[in-house]
Amino acid sequence: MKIEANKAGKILVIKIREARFGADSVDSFSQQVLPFIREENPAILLDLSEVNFLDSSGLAALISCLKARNGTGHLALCGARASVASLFRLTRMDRVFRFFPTSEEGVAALS
Amino acid sequence: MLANRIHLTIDSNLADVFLVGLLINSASRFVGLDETEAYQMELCVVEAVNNTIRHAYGGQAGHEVAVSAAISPSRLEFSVADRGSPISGDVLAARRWEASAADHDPFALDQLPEGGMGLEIMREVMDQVDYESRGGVNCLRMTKRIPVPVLEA
Repeated sequence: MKIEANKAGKILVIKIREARFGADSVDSFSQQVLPFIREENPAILLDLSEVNFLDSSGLAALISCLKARNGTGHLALCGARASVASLFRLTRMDRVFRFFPTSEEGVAALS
Repeated sequence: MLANRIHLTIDSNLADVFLVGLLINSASRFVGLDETEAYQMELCVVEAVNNTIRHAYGGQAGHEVAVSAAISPSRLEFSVADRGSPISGDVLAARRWEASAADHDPFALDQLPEGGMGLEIMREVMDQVDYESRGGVNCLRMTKRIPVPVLEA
């Protein structure tokens, strides 16, 4: 899985550069992203704008990230298209994650 | 109305599951579902195939997973069949999101699920989900009815 990590002020924006985030890519995602999650970044924004398919394995990897933060800082999502956002509603995870329409809005809100 | 049908078989390899997903999504869009509805049809079939690979075949490649789809403007039917280990009755009976479990506490991180969501997603999205294991063949069937648009007089 290809990801891209960039700082926007104090916010670390991690963008998933793949259209599909499913069971076959979660190991690669976790290996790349969990080290960032465990660093002392006050806020992390995961950009899903290029993802058009997310399954429960990908969702579970996002939940793992949230757990790895362990309440020590913000972890929010941005750019989820309507179809992908529907998975969060189906699994009630829309109550657990904080969402922003775009990375720009997420960075502004978390800064 | 007669349905169009397709049967395909893939190897029990997670890296190949997207091929099934693309087909289900395209067929769903063809009969008029919107992007989110088609995604959810794709999601359910992908979840079923992923479960088969991981649980029926223990994550091992080299086994057949048979997927069938019957598609009409009023109804979508999907099945996923294998010859691996059947789903246990306990797993089939468990309803993760029923009653009080329906609302995750955002502050109780350790209680958030990191697996086992696939079957519940299928039950949420589909109108009917059935599973049977007979003669060494396990088969999960899902049905989604498509509402017929009401024409205004």
